[in-house]
Amino acid sequence: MEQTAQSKSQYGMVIDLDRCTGCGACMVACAVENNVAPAEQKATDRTGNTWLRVYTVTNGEEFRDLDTVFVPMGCQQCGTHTPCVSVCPQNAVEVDHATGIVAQIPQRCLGCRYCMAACPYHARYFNWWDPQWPKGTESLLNPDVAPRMRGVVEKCNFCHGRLHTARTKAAAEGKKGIEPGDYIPACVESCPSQAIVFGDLADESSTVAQLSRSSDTFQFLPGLGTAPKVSYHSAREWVRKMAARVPTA
Amino acid sequence: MSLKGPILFLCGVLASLAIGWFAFPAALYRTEPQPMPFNHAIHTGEQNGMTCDMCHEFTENGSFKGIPAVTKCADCHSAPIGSTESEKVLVEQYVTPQKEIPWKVYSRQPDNAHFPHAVHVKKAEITCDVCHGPHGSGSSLPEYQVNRISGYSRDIWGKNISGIPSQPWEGMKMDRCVRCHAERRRDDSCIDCHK
Amino acid sequence: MKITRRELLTFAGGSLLGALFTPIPWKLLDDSSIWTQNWSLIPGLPRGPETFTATRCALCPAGCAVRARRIDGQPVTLAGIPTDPFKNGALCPMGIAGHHLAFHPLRLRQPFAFTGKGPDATLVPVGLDEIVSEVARTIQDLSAASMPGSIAILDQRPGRAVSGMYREFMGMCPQGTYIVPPGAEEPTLATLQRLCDFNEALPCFDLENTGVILSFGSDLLDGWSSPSHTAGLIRNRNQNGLNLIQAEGVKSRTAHQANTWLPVIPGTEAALALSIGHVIIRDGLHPREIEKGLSDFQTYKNLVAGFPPDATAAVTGIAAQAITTTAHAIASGPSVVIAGCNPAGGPFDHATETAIAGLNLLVGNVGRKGGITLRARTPSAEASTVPAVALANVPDHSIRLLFVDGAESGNIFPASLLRRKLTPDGGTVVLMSPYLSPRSAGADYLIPSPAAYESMEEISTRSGASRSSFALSLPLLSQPEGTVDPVAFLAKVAEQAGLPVPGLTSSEACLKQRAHDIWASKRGSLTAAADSAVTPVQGMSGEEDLWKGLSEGGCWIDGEEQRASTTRRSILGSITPGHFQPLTAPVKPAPGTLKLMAFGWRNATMTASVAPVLSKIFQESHLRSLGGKVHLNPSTIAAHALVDGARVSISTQSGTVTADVVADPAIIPGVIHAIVGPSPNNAAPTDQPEAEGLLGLCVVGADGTWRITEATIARA
Repeated sequence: MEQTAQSKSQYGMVIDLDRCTGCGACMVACAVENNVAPAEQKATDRTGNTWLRVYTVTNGEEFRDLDTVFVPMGCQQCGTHTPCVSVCPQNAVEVDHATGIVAQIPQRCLGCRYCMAACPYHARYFNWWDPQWPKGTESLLNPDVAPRMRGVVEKCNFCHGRLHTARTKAAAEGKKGIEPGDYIPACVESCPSQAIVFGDLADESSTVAQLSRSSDTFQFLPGLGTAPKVSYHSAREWVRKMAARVPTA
Repeated sequence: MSLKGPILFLCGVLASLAIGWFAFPAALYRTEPQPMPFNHAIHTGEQNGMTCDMCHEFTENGSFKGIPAVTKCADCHSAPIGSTESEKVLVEQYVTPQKEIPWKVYSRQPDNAHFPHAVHVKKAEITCDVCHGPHGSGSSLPEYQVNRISGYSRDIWGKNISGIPSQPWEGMKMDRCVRCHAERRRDDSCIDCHK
Repeated sequence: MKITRRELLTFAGGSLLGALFTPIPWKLLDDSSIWTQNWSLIPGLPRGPETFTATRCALCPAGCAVRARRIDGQPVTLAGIPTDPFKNGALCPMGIAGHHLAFHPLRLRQPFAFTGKGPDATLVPVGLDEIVSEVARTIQDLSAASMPGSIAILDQRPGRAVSGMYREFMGMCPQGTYIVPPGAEEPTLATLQRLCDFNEALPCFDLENTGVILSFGSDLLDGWSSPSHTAGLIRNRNQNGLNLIQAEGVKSRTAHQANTWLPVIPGTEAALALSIGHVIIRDGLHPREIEKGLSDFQTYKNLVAGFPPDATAAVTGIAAQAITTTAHAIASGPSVVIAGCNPAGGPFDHATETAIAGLNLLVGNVGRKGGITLRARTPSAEASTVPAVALANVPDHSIRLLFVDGAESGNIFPASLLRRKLTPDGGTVVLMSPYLSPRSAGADYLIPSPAAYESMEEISTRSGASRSSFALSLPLLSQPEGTVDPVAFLAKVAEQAGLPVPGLTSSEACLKQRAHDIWASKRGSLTAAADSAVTPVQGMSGEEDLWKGLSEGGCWIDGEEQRASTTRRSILGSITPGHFQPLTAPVKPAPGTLKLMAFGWRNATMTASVAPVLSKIFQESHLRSLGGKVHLNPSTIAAHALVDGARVSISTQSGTVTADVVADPAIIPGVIHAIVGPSPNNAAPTDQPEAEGLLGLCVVGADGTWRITEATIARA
């Protein structure tokens, strides 16, 4: 079969948990970029919509010995055997082989939420309510990301709208593939500590590929076999141990 | 034996068919006039020999400007250069007061569809008429008919109510994109075309 | 002919069968599913040309550089500019959604008057001219001395060009006072200005070249000066060798990132600072020349003799070894010692500020590269002779008419601090603000000023920057009809009151005047936004060049910084040893009470200052707590028979407020860490300013501070 698509990439991230200060800029940048509406008044952390969510985890010690790690967690973009893809009755999500992105198409979703149960990272969010945009903010929406209504599940797609823009630019400039610097997800761009590194894991020379091979780089719930393309990096032993454990609380 | 039953039945079938194939399309679509007449042929024909991209431009980073803003018309028509009534309307009602012409767009797609003209026109080198037909050589704009229910132009489904295109450039729904992509053996994913 | 039912049904059956062979059912299915995607509850996406504008965020004085992506002129995405000449390379969460603030549910779109008092007060729309007349009349009555009291303006962001104009206006008014709130000026530098005579220059922190930062509770990563600038320093500390020591009674985000965290018991910071001073003198770590250079060195030496590390450890909770290590760290090379000011908890008392800031003098930081350097003031044709009075120093019950400029500093203070400065009948308060904030509760008139990104605003030198600078926050949105420029409003008032103030016309005129003054001074250079090209002001042919560069997103940065040349230096200033609590008689909290301390995140202390989408952080996750939560150490929770999530009543001598408990091991035992922040997102319009809540429980002392208040807690 003649392959006319651009060469395959495997987009992934390495997030440095020692640099992350837990400021939350990435969470807000993600919401603004992807047209995620502000919370309904009744929304809580269980019913909210946070494609990228920064969790606060402590080492369980008392005040003086306390250490905290802030963990930005969005869709981990699991490898080929993605739990969510395997359960969706609508084919509303699939793994894009050209980029490795686990693509959620909310317009196809019927809202059964099976995928939310299947996702071990709780990275999928359901629109319990219709989006409530303060009057006037409709003119501030990002035209590169489709809006959603209530009743559908959505999640991080690695800012694929920005990938579209990068591809359009490459086409206009007559280039075969995109410039890596043209495709930067909103969370990566916004981090004041530059804690998130993004790039093509299939490109051995890329920073993200090199970081992913570090001995201090790990993944969450590695025993499940999800092979996520989002990895984390920490020099702290207790953080690495925490990531491998199934939470008891 | 009475044939009344079967005949009545047949009448019912025929009535339905007639309504479905003739009355329904007429009722489903509403014709809306374009704000003013526009003659593509004068611009692209032998007289002026313009190409599509002289007005329907790309920006530097590849995004497509679509239907040109009135400033593009003003580049030539800041004052009437011909003698037609339509040009007079253009200059007096739009160019001079710097008012955008509220054209009705035949190929308007839903918000969740991402169609990058740059990738198709510049990279795949598909000419405009492949998707838009002989639109650019027409001497008047086709009738704009809008589907009362969906709100989209009739050209999206196709002129033919059956959905079977009578011309290769008819219809702009997803299945047409998918068909052409399959013909060109592209390995696509949802994320390539959906926002 | 009569039609039977059977005939009708036969016909209908035929029609039904026929219908299946027509487009009707299939097309209707298709079209109605498309119709469901067009409902008004799904917003349509904007269309139009994409452009990019370089501007700056004016939500707080940091003025971080912004690259705004615009669709058809409307700002859609804001991102930081890593090559920002000020090195504020990224935006904070509030800044990223700054363009949404103009559409905040609490946005004011017309002038209002408050009628009635207390919880029954209601907002009534009123014409601007009516307010102008009323206020002008009040001024005239005050001029005629038929009413006692002064006229004052509270400027929360002093140092701007409009601040100068406000001073002039007050200078023309009878008993006019120009007031700055607590925290508007960086406390360490303000203290150093009291201790030393820097002539006309201003002290600043040379953070780029410093080796050690010893911070007493400064929220370096959460709002102090410029958080993105600090994040950059910390991010690069492997290269620049920065050693950050955070002395704070809570393990904050800054404390987590610090090289060393000193969990000092709140209220004992002065003892810790004096103990560090003790070690420095004991071990001879101070430069010899300061013994003669400081006028009260001997007094200081005798004072710190009473604060040896071993004894201080018990009171402060910091081990003697840690105190010694810290002292050696700050004395080992260029360092800066910073006295913090929490956005909701306010500054330390003067004695503590002096003890902390004085360490800079003791180790010789003042005048040293990497320490406290001096910058020349931003050029201004005439320095104002009207002094700035700290709010705490305004005589009680003295202000009859108060204007409040709504440009926020990012900090908040208890309303009682302001209330007691007004005449007993409450005076007349005119609040010029874009939003209905908690401050509105004390106001009589609300003037809707332009919201974020709706007008050209000044980005003056951020506190701590080592060179003076000037830049503009360029607007990205059009102002709705009804917004009023604060300066233009005051100009109207002044004119009607018969007090013409030259130059008081509009905010933009003030900005142009400052640009003119900078150009006339021939100092510094302009860095262009587009290509970072640097053009010295001296080389510019006309002042339009400077204004044009600024209007295109460029920034002016002053020339060489000055060396500190001072004639007078004192390490204690007006503080006497008696101001400090001796170690032998530490202040003990009454049994059963806790220390209530208000905490806020800069620029996120109230609902009106954060865009609704910040609910991601406050409400839809546990990353930051909403206002009205109190964080307690688990041991404190157990000691008071409470549980995580309990609803409690907290009482101080100011009143009682209910709150929700959050168990947080980062809080030192014995402290109620009260969050002053936004409420859950509420799209419904309201005309009630939100209640002050926990901040109102803080008792403001005679010195104008409210950092620690004795409180009791019980299940509600």
